[in-house]
Amino acid sequence: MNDDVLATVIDILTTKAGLPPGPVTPTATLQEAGVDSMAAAVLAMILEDDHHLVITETALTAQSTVADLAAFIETQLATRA
Amino acid sequence: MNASPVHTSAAPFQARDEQILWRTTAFSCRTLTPCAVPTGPALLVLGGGLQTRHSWARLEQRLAPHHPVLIPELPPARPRGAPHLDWNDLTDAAVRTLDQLGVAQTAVLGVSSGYPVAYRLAQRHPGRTSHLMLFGASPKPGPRLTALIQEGLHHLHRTDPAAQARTHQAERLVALLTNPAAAAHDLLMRAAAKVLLQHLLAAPHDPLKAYIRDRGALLLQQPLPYGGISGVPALVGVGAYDTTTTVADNRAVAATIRGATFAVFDNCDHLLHMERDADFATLITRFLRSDPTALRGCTTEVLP
Repeated sequence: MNDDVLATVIDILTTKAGLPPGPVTPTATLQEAGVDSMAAAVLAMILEDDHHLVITETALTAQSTVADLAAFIETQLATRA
Repeated sequence: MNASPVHTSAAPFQARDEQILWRTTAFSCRTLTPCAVPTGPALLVLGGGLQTRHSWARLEQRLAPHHPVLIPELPPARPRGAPHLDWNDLTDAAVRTLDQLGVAQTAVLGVSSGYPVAYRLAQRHPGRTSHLMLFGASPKPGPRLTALIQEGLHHLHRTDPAAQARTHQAERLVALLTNPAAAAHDLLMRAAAKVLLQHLLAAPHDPLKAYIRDRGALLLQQPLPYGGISGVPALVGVGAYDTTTTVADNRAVAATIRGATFAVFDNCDHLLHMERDADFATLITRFLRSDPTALRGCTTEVLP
């Protein structure tokens, strides 16, 4: 997995979506990381605005861990390319 | 409108639901108990229309480690097949919550259409109210909201509309409860509006009818009671871009409370508790601790 994507996802969740940074680690489940509907919406909107990637919040929150979430987004970016 | 909070063995608070028995019915109250000794008063959270006891996950994470928190899901004002309730009834239900849970005194947080209940509780039971905090409060609903409520009342007993019409109703409600023009330039305002829309669309009922049955109809019945409040430390806050309850509306409510602190948050609208959740929690915490430290992006003043 591309570490840049993981770093970007963590950065969005903690600096844009307002999640406390402590629990947002690669191995944390999305629940442990505190990813809620607001965080998912922020992430989806940034992916769409900045990366022209449309992914539903449902698809984002279906991932297990933060690392899985980043890997899923990376796959979607690659597919789009 | 929020995911459930995280529960791990190291969680700093414990959560459970209590059934509050009130008159001939019962309603749920989410209770959060800090694992450590509380450092501040209990906090009673009275949310607005369409909110549930699970709508405060982020606030819980920030406050529940330090304060016992009670989040009752008060009955809808217009329940199907049962007598209509008014603000006094809902206030009685809130007091019943405190009585049943053995809470002698609490800080009270009233948000949006939770504010008329919080206000009455503080007004009538000042000895039980250590602090009063109101966000998104207005002496009466504005013209657009009034028109929508009246339209909803007119349609209340009609068959639920088709899915497309329900989506339209949800979009109208969101447009009214948020500020789309300001949100166009702010990620968090847009995200909060999106979350609210998803919440409304996921519900099984017509969102406008649900809003009317819950609290909407009551907003036409004098949300702000006569008489004012004195002797209770109070904070009234509003988002600078709130078009549902404007800065002037909130200031008017604050002016009826002797010595109230009035706060205006930059860059947010009526959903400020979602858009600036960390600052929202910080302002509440500082107010409860009598901490005068200024909050960036928030102007405060103390009214006479």
